[in-house]
Amino acid sequence: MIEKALEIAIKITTKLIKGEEVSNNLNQNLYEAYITDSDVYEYVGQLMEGFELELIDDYGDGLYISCGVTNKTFGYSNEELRKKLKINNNSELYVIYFLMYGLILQFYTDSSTPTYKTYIKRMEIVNETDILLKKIISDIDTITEDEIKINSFKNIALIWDNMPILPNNEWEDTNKARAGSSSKAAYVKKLMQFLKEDNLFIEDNDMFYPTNRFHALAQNYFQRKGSDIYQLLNNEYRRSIDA
Amino acid sequence: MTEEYEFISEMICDFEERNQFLKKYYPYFKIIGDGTRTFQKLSLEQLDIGFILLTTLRFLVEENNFKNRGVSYNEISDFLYYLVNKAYLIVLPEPEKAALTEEVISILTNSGQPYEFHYYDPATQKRSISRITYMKGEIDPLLGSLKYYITDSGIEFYLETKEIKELNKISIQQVLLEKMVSSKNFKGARQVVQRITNQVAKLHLMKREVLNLISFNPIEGDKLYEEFFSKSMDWFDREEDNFVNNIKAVENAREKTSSADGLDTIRDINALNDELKKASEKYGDLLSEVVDLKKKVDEIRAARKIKVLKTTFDYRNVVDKMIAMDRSNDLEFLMSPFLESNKKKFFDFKRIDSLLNFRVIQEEDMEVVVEEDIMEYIFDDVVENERIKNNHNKYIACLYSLLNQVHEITLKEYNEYLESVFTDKVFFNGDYFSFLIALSGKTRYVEEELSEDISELEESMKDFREKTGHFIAFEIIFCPDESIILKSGFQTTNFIIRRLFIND
Repeated sequence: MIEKALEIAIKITTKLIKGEEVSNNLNQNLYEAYITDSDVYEYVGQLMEGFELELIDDYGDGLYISCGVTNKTFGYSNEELRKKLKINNNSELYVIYFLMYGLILQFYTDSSTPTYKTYIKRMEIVNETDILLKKIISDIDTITEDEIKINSFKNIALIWDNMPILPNNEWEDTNKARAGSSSKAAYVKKLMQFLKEDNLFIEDNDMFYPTNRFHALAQNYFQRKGSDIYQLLNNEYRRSIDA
Repeated sequence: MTEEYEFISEMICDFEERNQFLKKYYPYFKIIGDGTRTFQKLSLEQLDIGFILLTTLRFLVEENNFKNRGVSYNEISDFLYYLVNKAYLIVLPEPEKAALTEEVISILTNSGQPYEFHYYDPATQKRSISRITYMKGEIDPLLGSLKYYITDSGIEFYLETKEIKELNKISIQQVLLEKMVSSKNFKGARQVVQRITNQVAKLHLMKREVLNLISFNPIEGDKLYEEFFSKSMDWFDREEDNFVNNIKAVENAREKTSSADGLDTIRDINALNDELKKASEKYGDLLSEVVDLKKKVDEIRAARKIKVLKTTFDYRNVVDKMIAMDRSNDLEFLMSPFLESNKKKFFDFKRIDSLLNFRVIQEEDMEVVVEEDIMEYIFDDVVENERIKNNHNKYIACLYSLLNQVHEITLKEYNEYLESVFTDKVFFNGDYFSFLIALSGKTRYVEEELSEDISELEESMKDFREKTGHFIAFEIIFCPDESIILKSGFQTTNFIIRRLFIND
C-alpha cells in the first residue's frame, strides 16, 4: 500500500516537474489520490521539500509548482535564462523582468486583489510599461556619463525609451513585429512567447489569457512566500550597502 | 478645415504674450551660446559662464532684495573670487580676478545696452523688439559711487531657471512684488500678484494630489504629504508677514498718490489692491485646507493599519522598494517563481529514495551580478552627425582639389568629378544634398569674413586650413537660368564656384 502511494506521489511529482498539468479535469485519479490519500499527500510533500519546490494545492482543482527564487536544482541562472529567452545581456533580461512586472499588475494589484481582466493584448503591455517607466524616464531627461548602472531601473528606462515601438520600416501592424530586442513590440513578443511556453498564458486571436497556473502562482505563491521575498530584498539591500 | 485650425487665431493673439514670456531667456542663451563658450579675457576654460552668471544673479537677489542694498564693483569682485575658489578650487590671481569681474559685469549689463529680442507680431502686423537686461548700474546719491542692482527681468529669469518648489517661488515673487511697489510699477506688481494667486492655486491642486496619492500608494503618498505639510506650515509662518507688509505697502502707495499721478496710476493701485486681497483670501483658504488635509490623512493611516493585518503581497509596493534601492536585478524575485522547472538540468531519478531519507541543506548562493558602470553613452544623432561631417569633408576635399587645378568650375563639372571619385551613388546620398544646401547658404567663403557663428561646413573648411596651412577662399555665382538633372532624378540650379585669391 505504501509502495503504491509512493509510486503515485513520484508520478505526480514527475508530471509537475515536467511541466504537465495535474488536475481534476486532466488526470482525476492522480489529483484525487493526492486529495484523499494521506500517504500520497505526505510523500508528495516530502518530495517537494527535498527538491525545494513550492507546491500550490489550494488554487482551484489542480496542483501547481514553483521553483521559487533560490532553487539551484530546478531554477535558472541568469545565463540559462538569457539562453532560453535568446537575449544577449543582463540589461535586456532586466527589461524582460520589468515587462513581467507590468504584466502581473494588469491582472493583480496585490496577491489577493485580482483586477478581473480576462486577457491582454501585446500593445497594452507596451503602453502600460511606458506609463510605469514614465517617472524614471523623466528623471533621465539629462544624464551624466557615469550615472547609469546596468542593474538600475534607470538603465531599464533608458533601453526602453531609446527603442521605437515597432521595428524600423514596420509602421502599422503591431502583430507582425518579430520577437527581438530592436523595438518595444519585439520585446513584448519575446516575453509572451516565453510565457506561452511556460504555460502561463495561452494565445487566441492575438489576445493572451492567463492560465490557472499563472493565477495560482500570482495569488497563492506570493501570498504564502511574500514575507520571504521581503526578507530577501532587505538582505540584498544590506549586502549591497556592506559591499 | 477652417474649424479644424481655429487655434491659429488664438496663436496670433497670444504670440505677443508668448514672446514676453520667452524674452527673459534670450540674453542667457545669447551669452552662453551652446554652452561651450568661455570667458574671453581668462584662460580658465573650466569656468562655466552659465553657472557664474546665475550664481551672480542669486548674489544680487540676496543683497538687493533680501538685504535691500546695492552692490559695488568690489563686492561683486570679492564674491566672484570666493565663488571660483569654492566651486572650482581655484585661487584667482589679482589680474584674473579683475578680468573676470569686468567681464561678468559687462555681460550682465551688456555694457549698459539692453539685449534686443526681435520678433514679428502677427496680431499688430508689426515687428517688435523686446529689450532685456539682467543687471543695471545706478549711482548711489549719497556716496556718489556706482552700485549694481538686479532688474525685474533678471529676477524673473532667475525664478524660471529652476523648478523651484512652489513655496519658495511665492516667497521670491513676494520680494519681486515689494520691489515693484517701491518702484511704483503697479501694473507689473499686479501681474506678480496674479502669479502668486496662480501659485497658491497650484498648491491647492498639490494638496488634492497628496490626498489621491496617499489613498493608493501609501509610501509615496506619505512622503509627499510629509514634504507638503512641513514646508507649507513653515511657509505659512513666513508668508503671513509678507502678505501683511505688501498690503501695507500698497495702502501707503495709495495714500501717497494724488491727482497729479494721473487716473491710470490710481486705477492701477486700486486694481493691485483688489488682486492682493484676492490672493490673501485664497491663501487663507489654503491654510484651512492644509489643516483639513492633516485630519484626512490621519483617518487614511488608521484605516490602513487595519488592512495591514490581512497578509497580502503588494506587487507595486515591492517594486517601489526595488526602485527606491535602484536594484533592477531584484525583479527576478518576481519573475523566478513563475518559471517552469529547468528541465534541461541533469537529475538522476534513482536518487529519489535517498532524497526521501535525507534532506537537502537549505543553503543557496545567488548569482552575483557585477555592477558595471556604463562609461559612455553615444546617442544615434551623434553617430549620424559624425557621418555627415565625414562625408562633407570628402566633398570639400574634392572641391579644393579641383579649385587648385582650374580656379573656376561649375556645379556640373564638380558633379562629374564627384561621380568619377565616388561613382553615381553619391547622387543618391542625402549627405550630398545637405552639403549642396549648406554650400549655397553663402556666396562667399573667405576666412577673414567668417563671423563668430560659423557653420559646420565653414568649421570643416577651417580644419582643412589647419592641415594644409592655407584657406582656399572662393565665391559662388548662381546661374538661375541653368538647371541640372542629377542621376537620382533631382533637379538643381547650376552655379559657378570661383576661387578667390584674397592675400595675393
